[in-house]
Amino acid sequence: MHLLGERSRERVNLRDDELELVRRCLAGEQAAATALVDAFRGAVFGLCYRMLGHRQDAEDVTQESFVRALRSLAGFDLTRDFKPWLLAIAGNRCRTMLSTRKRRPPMAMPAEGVEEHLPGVEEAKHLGEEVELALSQLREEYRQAFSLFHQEQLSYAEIGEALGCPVGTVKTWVHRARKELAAALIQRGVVEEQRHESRGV
Amino acid sequence: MNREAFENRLQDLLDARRSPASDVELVRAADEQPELRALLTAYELLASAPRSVPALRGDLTERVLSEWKQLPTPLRPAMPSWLAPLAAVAATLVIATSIAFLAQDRGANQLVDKPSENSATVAQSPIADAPDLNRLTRQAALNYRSLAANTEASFSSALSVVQPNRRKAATTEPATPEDSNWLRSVPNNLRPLSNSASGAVYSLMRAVPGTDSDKQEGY
Repeated sequence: MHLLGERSRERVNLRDDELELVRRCLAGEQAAATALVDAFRGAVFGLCYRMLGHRQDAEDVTQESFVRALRSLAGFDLTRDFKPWLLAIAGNRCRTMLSTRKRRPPMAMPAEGVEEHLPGVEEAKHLGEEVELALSQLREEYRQAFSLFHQEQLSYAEIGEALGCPVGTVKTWVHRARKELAAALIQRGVVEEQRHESRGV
Repeated sequence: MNREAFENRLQDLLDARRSPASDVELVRAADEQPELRALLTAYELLASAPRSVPALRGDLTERVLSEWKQLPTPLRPAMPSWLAPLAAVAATLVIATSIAFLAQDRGANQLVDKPSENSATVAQSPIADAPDLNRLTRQAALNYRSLAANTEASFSSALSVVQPNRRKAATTEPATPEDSNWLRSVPNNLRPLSNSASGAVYSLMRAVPGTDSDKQEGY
Protein backbone atom coordinates (compact mmCIF):
# COMPACT_ATOMS: atom_id res chain seq x y z
CA MET A 1 0.00 0.00 0.00
CA HIS A 2 2.79 2.33 0.87
CA LEU A 3 4.48 1.61 -2.47
CA LEU A 4 1.23 2.23 -4.32
CA GLY A 5 0.82 5.55 -2.53
CA GLU A 6 4.32 6.62 -3.52
CA ARG A 7 3.67 5.71 -7.14
CA SER A 8 0.38 7.56 -7.13
CA ARG A 9 2.07 10.69 -5.77
CA GLU A 10 4.82 10.38 -8.39
CA ARG A 11 2.18 10.05 -11.09
CA VAL A 12 0.38 13.14 -9.85
CA ASN A 13 3.63 15.10 -9.77
CA LEU A 14 4.52 13.90 -13.26
CA ARG A 15 1.11 14.88 -14.52
CA ASP A 16 1.44 18.33 -12.95
CA ASP A 17 4.80 18.74 -14.65
CA GLU A 18 3.32 17.72 -18.00
CA LEU A 19 0.43 20.13 -17.62
CA GLU A 20 2.79 22.92 -16.69
CA LEU A 21 4.79 22.24 -19.84
CA VAL A 22 1.61 22.23 -21.90
CA ARG A 23 0.52 25.57 -20.42
CA ARG A 24 3.90 27.11 -21.15
CA CYS A 25 3.79 25.78 -24.70
CA LEU A 26 0.39 27.38 -25.15
CA ALA A 27 1.93 30.65 -24.03
CA GLY A 28 4.40 30.24 -26.90
CA GLU A 29 7.43 29.38 -24.77
CA GLN A 30 9.91 27.54 -26.96
CA ALA A 31 11.88 26.05 -24.07
CA ALA A 32 8.72 24.31 -22.86
CA ALA A 33 8.11 22.86 -26.32
CA THR A 34 11.67 21.56 -26.36
CA ALA A 35 11.22 19.96 -22.95
CA LEU A 36 7.91 18.40 -24.01
CA VAL A 37 9.43 16.85 -27.14
CA ASP A 38 12.47 15.61 -25.23
CA ALA A 39 10.28 14.06 -22.55
CA PHE A 40 8.17 11.99 -24.94
CA ARG A 41 10.30 11.46 -28.02
CA GLY A 42 11.42 7.99 -26.88
CA ALA A 43 7.87 6.79 -26.23
CA VAL A 44 6.52 8.18 -29.48
CA PHE A 45 9.40 6.84 -31.55
CA GLY A 46 9.11 3.44 -29.85
CA LEU A 47 5.41 3.28 -30.68
CA CYS A 48 5.98 4.32 -34.29
CA TYR A 49 8.84 1.88 -34.71
CA ARG A 50 6.80 -0.96 -33.24
CA MET A 51 3.84 -0.18 -35.46
CA LEU A 52 5.70 0.57 -38.67
CA GLY A 53 8.73 -1.68 -38.32
CA HIS A 54 10.79 0.79 -40.27
CA ARG A 55 13.23 3.26 -38.78
CA GLN A 56 13.03 6.05 -41.34
CA ASP A 57 9.24 5.95 -41.51
CA ALA A 58 9.10 5.86 -37.72
CA GLU A 59 11.28 8.97 -37.50
CA ASP A 60 9.18 10.83 -40.04
CA VAL A 61 5.94 9.93 -38.30
CA THR A 62 7.41 10.82 -34.91
CA GLN A 63 8.29 14.30 -36.16
CA GLU A 64 4.90 14.72 -37.80
CA SER A 65 3.14 13.56 -34.65
CA PHE A 66 4.91 16.10 -32.46
CA VAL A 67 4.20 18.93 -34.89
CA ARG A 68 0.55 17.95 -35.02
CA ALA A 69 0.38 17.69 -31.26
CA LEU A 70 1.91 21.14 -30.77
CA ARG A 71 -0.43 22.56 -33.38
CA SER A 72 -3.47 21.01 -31.70
CA LEU A 73 -2.34 21.76 -28.18
CA ALA A 74 -4.97 24.48 -27.75
CA GLY A 75 -7.65 21.81 -28.09
CA PHE A 76 -6.09 19.50 -25.50
CA ASP A 77 -8.30 18.80 -22.51
CA LEU A 78 -6.20 19.75 -19.50
CA THR A 79 -8.12 17.34 -17.30
CA ARG A 80 -6.72 14.38 -19.28
CA ASP A 81 -3.26 12.84 -19.29
CA PHE A 82 -0.98 14.17 -21.96
CA LYS A 83 0.87 10.99 -22.87
CA PRO A 84 -2.14 8.90 -24.03
CA TRP A 85 -3.34 11.88 -26.06
CA LEU A 86 0.06 12.23 -27.72
CA LEU A 87 0.31 8.48 -28.35
CA ALA A 88 -3.16 8.49 -29.89
CA ILE A 89 -2.02 11.14 -32.37
CA ALA A 90 1.08 9.09 -33.17
CA GLY A 91 -1.01 5.91 -33.52
CA ASN A 92 -3.34 7.66 -35.96
CA ARG A 93 -0.41 8.85 -38.04
CA CYS A 94 1.06 5.34 -38.06
CA ARG A 95 -2.21 3.83 -39.24
CA THR A 96 -2.40 6.43 -41.99
CA MET A 97 1.15 5.58 -43.01
CA LEU A 98 0.35 1.86 -43.00
CA SER A 99 -2.73 2.37 -45.19
CA THR A 100 -0.66 4.48 -47.61
CA ARG A 101 1.92 1.74 -47.74
CA LYS A 102 -0.73 -0.81 -48.66
CA ARG A 103 -1.87 1.35 -51.57
CA ARG A 104 1.54 2.12 -53.00
CA PRO A 105 3.67 -0.52 -54.77
CA PRO A 106 6.23 -2.32 -52.62
CA MET A 107 9.60 -0.65 -52.45
CA ALA A 108 13.03 -1.93 -51.59
CA MET A 109 13.64 -1.98 -47.83
CA PRO A 110 16.22 0.57 -46.71
CA ALA A 111 19.43 -0.40 -45.03
CA GLU A 112 18.11 0.31 -41.54
CA GLY A 113 14.79 -1.49 -41.81
CA VAL A 114 13.53 -3.67 -39.00
CA GLU A 115 14.38 -6.76 -41.01
CA GLU A 116 18.01 -5.92 -40.53
CA HIS A 117 17.53 -6.34 -36.81
CA LEU A 118 15.78 -9.66 -37.25
CA PRO A 119 18.42 -12.31 -37.79
CA GLY A 120 17.97 -15.56 -39.68
CA VAL A 121 17.45 -18.89 -37.92
CA GLU A 122 21.13 -19.79 -37.96
CA GLU A 123 22.20 -16.40 -36.65
CA ALA A 124 19.78 -16.33 -33.75
CA LYS A 125 22.14 -16.59 -30.84
CA HIS A 126 20.86 -14.19 -28.30
CA LEU A 127 17.61 -14.11 -26.48
CA GLY A 128 16.56 -10.72 -27.78
CA GLU A 129 17.12 -11.82 -31.34
CA GLU A 130 15.14 -14.99 -30.72
CA VAL A 131 12.24 -13.04 -29.33
CA GLU A 132 12.35 -10.61 -32.25
CA LEU A 133 12.34 -13.50 -34.69
CA ALA A 134 9.35 -15.06 -32.97
CA LEU A 135 7.62 -11.70 -32.90
CA SER A 136 8.01 -11.31 -36.64
CA GLN A 137 5.96 -14.48 -37.11
CA LEU A 138 2.97 -13.08 -35.20
CA ARG A 139 -0.07 -11.32 -36.53
CA GLU A 140 0.50 -7.58 -36.79
CA GLU A 141 -1.97 -6.68 -34.03
CA TYR A 142 -0.48 -9.22 -31.61
CA ARG A 143 3.04 -8.05 -32.35
CA GLN A 144 2.19 -4.38 -31.87
CA ALA A 145 0.27 -4.96 -28.65
CA PHE A 146 2.95 -7.20 -27.15
CA SER A 147 5.80 -4.85 -28.07
CA LEU A 148 4.05 -1.80 -26.72
CA PHE A 149 3.24 -3.53 -23.45
CA HIS A 150 6.49 -5.35 -22.73
CA GLN A 151 9.11 -3.42 -24.64
CA GLU A 152 7.70 0.12 -24.51
CA GLN A 153 6.17 -0.41 -21.06
CA LEU A 154 2.85 1.20 -22.02
CA SER A 155 -0.28 0.39 -20.06
CA TYR A 156 -3.23 -1.35 -21.66
CA ALA A 157 -5.18 1.90 -21.65
CA GLU A 158 -2.36 3.76 -23.41
CA ILE A 159 -2.05 1.00 -26.00
CA GLY A 160 -5.80 1.12 -26.54
CA GLU A 161 -5.59 4.87 -27.19
CA ALA A 162 -2.67 4.44 -29.57
CA LEU A 163 -4.13 1.57 -31.53
CA GLY A 164 -7.66 2.92 -31.41
CA CYS A 165 -9.28 -0.15 -29.89
CA PRO A 166 -10.80 -1.16 -26.52
CA VAL A 167 -8.63 -2.17 -23.58
CA GLY A 168 -10.16 -5.66 -23.53
CA THR A 169 -9.13 -6.23 -27.11
CA VAL A 170 -5.58 -5.11 -26.36
CA LYS A 171 -5.41 -7.46 -23.41
CA THR A 172 -6.60 -10.37 -25.53
CA TRP A 173 -4.01 -9.58 -28.19
CA VAL A 174 -1.19 -9.44 -25.63
CA HIS A 175 -2.26 -12.75 -24.04
CA ARG A 176 -2.42 -14.51 -27.41
CA ALA A 177 0.94 -13.04 -28.38
CA ARG A 178 2.53 -14.38 -25.18
CA LYS A 179 1.03 -17.80 -25.74
CA GLU A 180 2.25 -18.05 -29.33
CA LEU A 181 5.66 -16.62 -28.46
CA ALA A 182 6.15 -19.05 -25.57
CA ALA A 183 5.21 -21.95 -27.81
CA ALA A 184 7.63 -20.71 -30.48
CA LEU A 185 10.49 -20.33 -27.99
CA ILE A 186 9.88 -23.81 -26.59
CA GLN A 187 9.68 -25.28 -30.08
CA ARG A 188 12.97 -23.67 -31.13
CA GLY A 189 14.74 -24.98 -28.05
CA VAL A 190 15.48 -21.53 -26.71
CA VAL A 191 13.93 -22.38 -23.36
CA GLU A 192 16.04 -25.48 -22.99
CA GLU A 193 19.18 -23.49 -23.84
CA GLN A 194 18.35 -20.92 -21.22
CA ARG A 195 17.78 -23.59 -18.59
CA HIS A 196 21.15 -25.15 -19.36
CA GLU A 197 22.81 -21.77 -19.18
CA SER A 198 21.15 -21.12 -15.83
CA ARG A 199 22.35 -24.42 -14.49
CA GLY A 200 25.83 -23.70 -15.76
CA VAL A 201 25.85 -20.38 -13.94
CA MET B 1 -2.61 -27.21 -11.16
CA ASN B 2 -3.39 -27.98 -14.80
CA ARG B 3 -1.76 -26.29 -17.77
CA GLU B 4 -4.60 -23.86 -18.48
CA ALA B 5 -4.81 -22.60 -14.90
CA PHE B 6 -1.03 -22.39 -14.79
CA GLU B 7 -0.89 -20.30 -17.96
CA ASN B 8 -3.73 -18.01 -16.81
CA ARG B 9 -1.85 -17.38 -13.59
CA LEU B 10 1.27 -16.55 -15.61
CA GLN B 11 -0.68 -14.09 -17.75
CA ASP B 12 -2.08 -12.33 -14.68
CA LEU B 13 1.39 -11.96 -13.20
CA LEU B 14 2.81 -10.51 -16.39
CA ASP B 15 -0.16 -8.15 -16.69
CA ALA B 16 0.79 -6.82 -13.26
CA ARG B 17 4.44 -6.63 -14.42
CA ARG B 18 5.54 -9.10 -11.82
CA SER B 19 8.03 -11.91 -12.29
CA PRO B 20 6.50 -15.43 -12.52
CA ALA B 21 9.35 -16.73 -10.38
CA SER B 22 8.06 -14.66 -7.48
CA ASP B 23 4.91 -16.79 -7.20
CA VAL B 24 5.57 -19.72 -4.85
CA GLU B 25 2.63 -21.79 -6.01
CA LEU B 26 3.64 -21.53 -9.66
CA VAL B 27 7.23 -22.47 -8.91
CA ARG B 28 6.07 -25.51 -6.93
CA ALA B 29 3.83 -26.64 -9.81
CA ALA B 30 6.67 -26.11 -12.30
CA ASP B 31 8.99 -28.22 -10.22
CA GLU B 32 6.49 -31.08 -10.33
CA GLN B 33 5.84 -30.99 -14.09
CA PRO B 34 8.59 -30.38 -16.70
CA GLU B 35 6.02 -29.11 -19.21
CA LEU B 36 4.97 -26.37 -16.82
CA ARG B 37 8.63 -25.63 -16.04
CA ALA B 38 9.25 -24.97 -19.75
CA LEU B 39 6.24 -22.67 -19.86
CA LEU B 40 7.40 -20.78 -16.78
CA THR B 41 10.85 -20.25 -18.30
CA ALA B 42 9.40 -19.14 -21.64
CA TYR B 43 7.16 -16.53 -20.03
CA GLU B 44 10.05 -15.25 -17.94
CA LEU B 45 12.11 -14.84 -21.09
CA LEU B 46 9.32 -12.90 -22.77
CA ALA B 47 8.94 -10.55 -19.84
CA SER B 48 12.67 -9.88 -19.70
CA ALA B 49 13.20 -9.57 -23.46
CA PRO B 50 15.49 -6.63 -24.13
CA ARG B 51 14.11 -3.58 -25.88
CA SER B 52 15.58 -3.49 -29.35
CA VAL B 53 14.70 -0.16 -30.88
CA PRO B 54 17.29 1.68 -32.96
CA ALA B 55 18.54 4.99 -31.66
CA LEU B 56 16.59 8.03 -32.72
CA ARG B 57 18.37 10.80 -34.60
CA GLY B 58 19.51 13.56 -32.29
CA ASP B 59 18.11 16.49 -34.27
CA LEU B 60 14.47 15.43 -34.00
CA THR B 61 13.66 18.12 -31.44
CA GLU B 62 15.23 20.85 -33.59
CA ARG B 63 13.33 19.68 -36.66
CA VAL B 64 10.04 19.60 -34.77
CA LEU B 65 10.58 23.08 -33.36
CA SER B 66 11.62 24.58 -36.68
CA GLU B 67 8.48 23.19 -38.28
CA TRP B 68 6.38 24.39 -35.35
CA LYS B 69 7.78 27.92 -35.73
CA GLN B 70 6.62 28.00 -39.33
CA LEU B 71 3.01 27.61 -38.28
CA PRO B 72 0.90 30.27 -40.00
CA THR B 73 -1.09 31.18 -36.90
CA PRO B 74 0.07 31.45 -33.30
CA LEU B 75 -1.28 29.08 -30.71
CA ARG B 76 -4.38 30.37 -29.08
CA PRO B 77 -7.20 28.86 -27.07
CA ALA B 78 -9.69 27.03 -29.22
CA MET B 79 -13.12 28.46 -29.99
CA PRO B 80 -15.58 27.46 -27.26
CA SER B 81 -17.20 24.19 -28.19
CA TRP B 82 -20.72 25.57 -27.71
CA LEU B 83 -20.20 28.49 -30.10
CA ALA B 84 -20.40 26.53 -33.35
CA PRO B 85 -23.71 24.76 -32.52
CA LEU B 86 -25.17 28.04 -31.26
CA ALA B 87 -24.27 29.81 -34.49
CA ALA B 88 -25.73 26.96 -36.51
CA VAL B 89 -29.00 27.09 -34.56
CA ALA B 90 -29.22 30.87 -34.93
CA ALA B 91 -28.63 30.67 -38.67
CA THR B 92 -31.27 27.96 -39.01
CA LEU B 93 -33.79 30.06 -37.08
CA VAL B 94 -33.16 33.09 -39.28
CA ILE B 95 -33.55 31.05 -42.45
CA ALA B 96 -36.68 29.32 -41.16
CA THR B 97 -38.27 32.65 -40.16
CA SER B 98 -37.46 34.16 -43.55
CA ILE B 99 -38.97 31.20 -45.35
CA ALA B 100 -42.09 31.40 -43.17
CA PHE B 101 -42.55 35.10 -43.92
CA LEU B 102 -42.02 34.58 -47.63
CA ALA B 103 -44.50 31.72 -47.69
CA GLN B 104 -47.05 33.81 -45.78
CA ASP B 105 -46.61 36.74 -48.15
CA ARG B 106 -46.94 34.50 -51.22
CA GLY B 107 -50.04 32.89 -49.77
CA ALA B 108 -51.71 36.28 -49.27
CA ASN B 109 -50.92 37.27 -52.86
CA GLN B 110 -52.42 34.05 -54.12
CA LEU B 111 -55.60 34.77 -52.15
CA VAL B 112 -55.95 38.13 -53.87
CA ASP B 113 -54.99 36.91 -57.36
CA LYS B 114 -56.96 33.70 -57.34
CA PRO B 115 -60.10 33.95 -55.20
CA SER B 116 -60.86 30.80 -53.34
CA GLU B 117 -63.52 29.76 -50.89
CA ASN B 118 -61.82 31.70 -48.14
CA SER B 119 -61.12 34.72 -50.27
CA ALA B 120 -64.78 35.65 -50.61
CA THR B 121 -64.93 37.05 -47.13
CA VAL B 122 -61.58 38.78 -47.59
CA ALA B 123 -62.62 40.38 -50.86
CA GLN B 124 -65.90 41.60 -49.38
CA SER B 125 -64.31 43.06 -46.31
CA PRO B 126 -63.89 46.86 -46.03
CA ILE B 127 -60.13 46.38 -46.19
CA ALA B 128 -60.32 44.69 -49.54
CA ASP B 129 -62.51 47.51 -50.91
CA ALA B 130 -60.35 50.28 -49.53
CA PRO B 131 -58.68 52.33 -52.29
CA ASP B 132 -54.96 52.56 -52.59
CA LEU B 133 -54.16 55.96 -51.12
CA ASN B 134 -50.79 56.18 -52.78
CA ARG B 135 -52.27 55.53 -56.19
CA LEU B 136 -55.00 58.14 -55.61
CA THR B 137 -52.45 60.70 -54.50
CA ARG B 138 -50.36 60.14 -57.60
CA GLN B 139 -53.45 60.40 -59.81
CA ALA B 140 -54.49 63.63 -58.11
CA ALA B 141 -51.05 65.11 -58.63
CA LEU B 142 -51.17 64.24 -62.32
CA ASN B 143 -54.62 65.75 -62.67
CA TYR B 144 -53.51 68.92 -60.96
CA ARG B 145 -50.48 69.24 -63.22
CA SER B 146 -52.62 68.72 -66.30
CA LEU B 147 -55.14 71.29 -65.13
CA ALA B 148 -52.42 73.81 -64.47
CA ALA B 149 -50.97 73.27 -67.91
CA ASN B 150 -54.35 73.72 -69.55
CA THR B 151 -55.05 76.85 -67.54
CA GLU B 152 -51.71 78.35 -68.49
CA ALA B 153 -52.37 77.52 -72.10
CA SER B 154 -55.77 79.19 -71.94
CA PHE B 155 -54.38 82.35 -70.39
CA SER B 156 -51.49 82.43 -72.79
CA SER B 157 -53.92 82.47 -75.74
CA ALA B 158 -55.79 85.35 -74.15
CA LEU B 159 -52.50 87.18 -73.63
CA SER B 160 -51.64 86.46 -77.20
CA VAL B 161 -54.69 88.30 -78.23
CA VAL B 162 -54.25 91.19 -75.82
CA GLN B 163 -50.51 91.61 -76.20
CA PRO B 164 -50.56 93.43 -79.54
CA ASN B 165 -52.92 95.98 -78.08
CA ARG B 166 -50.12 97.88 -76.49
CA ARG B 167 -51.89 101.14 -75.96
CA LYS B 168 -49.17 103.54 -76.74
CA ALA B 169 -48.05 101.76 -79.82
CA ALA B 170 -51.61 101.19 -80.88
CA THR B 171 -52.52 104.87 -80.67
CA THR B 172 -49.47 106.36 -82.19
CA GLU B 173 -48.50 103.93 -84.93
CA PRO B 174 -50.07 101.11 -86.91
CA ALA B 175 -49.29 97.42 -86.41
CA THR B 176 -45.77 96.69 -87.41
CA PRO B 177 -44.46 93.48 -89.03
CA GLU B 178 -42.78 92.62 -85.70
CA ASP B 179 -46.17 92.58 -84.00
CA SER B 180 -47.50 90.28 -86.66
CA ASN B 181 -44.56 87.96 -86.27
CA TRP B 182 -45.04 87.90 -82.50
CA LEU B 183 -48.62 86.93 -82.98
CA ARG B 184 -47.53 83.97 -85.10
CA SER B 185 -45.38 82.67 -82.29
CA VAL B 186 -48.27 81.86 -80.00
CA PRO B 187 -48.46 78.43 -78.49
CA ASN B 188 -49.33 75.60 -80.78
CA ASN B 189 -52.65 74.95 -79.13
CA LEU B 190 -53.89 78.31 -80.34
CA ARG B 191 -55.26 78.92 -83.71
CA PRO B 192 -52.64 80.82 -85.72
CA LEU B 193 -53.52 84.41 -86.47
CA SER B 194 -53.14 85.85 -89.87
CA ASN B 195 -52.15 89.42 -90.67
CA SER B 196 -55.68 90.20 -91.62
CA ALA B 197 -56.99 88.94 -88.33
CA SER B 198 -54.47 90.98 -86.40
CA GLY B 199 -55.51 93.97 -88.44
CA ALA B 200 -59.16 93.31 -87.61
CA VAL B 201 -58.38 93.18 -83.93
CA TYR B 202 -56.45 96.41 -84.21
CA SER B 203 -59.43 98.14 -85.87
CA LEU B 204 -61.76 96.80 -83.24
CA MET B 205 -59.61 98.14 -80.47
CA ARG B 206 -59.62 101.58 -82.03
CA ALA B 207 -63.40 101.51 -82.34
CA VAL B 208 -64.06 100.78 -78.69
CA PRO B 209 -64.50 104.01 -76.65
CA GLY B 210 -61.78 104.55 -74.14
CA THR B 211 -62.00 105.30 -70.45
CA ASP B 212 -61.05 108.55 -68.77
CA SER B 213 -57.52 107.45 -68.31
CA ASP B 214 -57.45 106.52 -71.96
CA LYS B 215 -58.57 109.98 -72.83
CA GLN B 216 -55.89 111.46 -70.65
CA GLU B 217 -53.38 109.45 -72.56
CA GLY B 218 -54.71 110.74 -75.82
CA TYR B 219 -57.02 107.98 -76.95
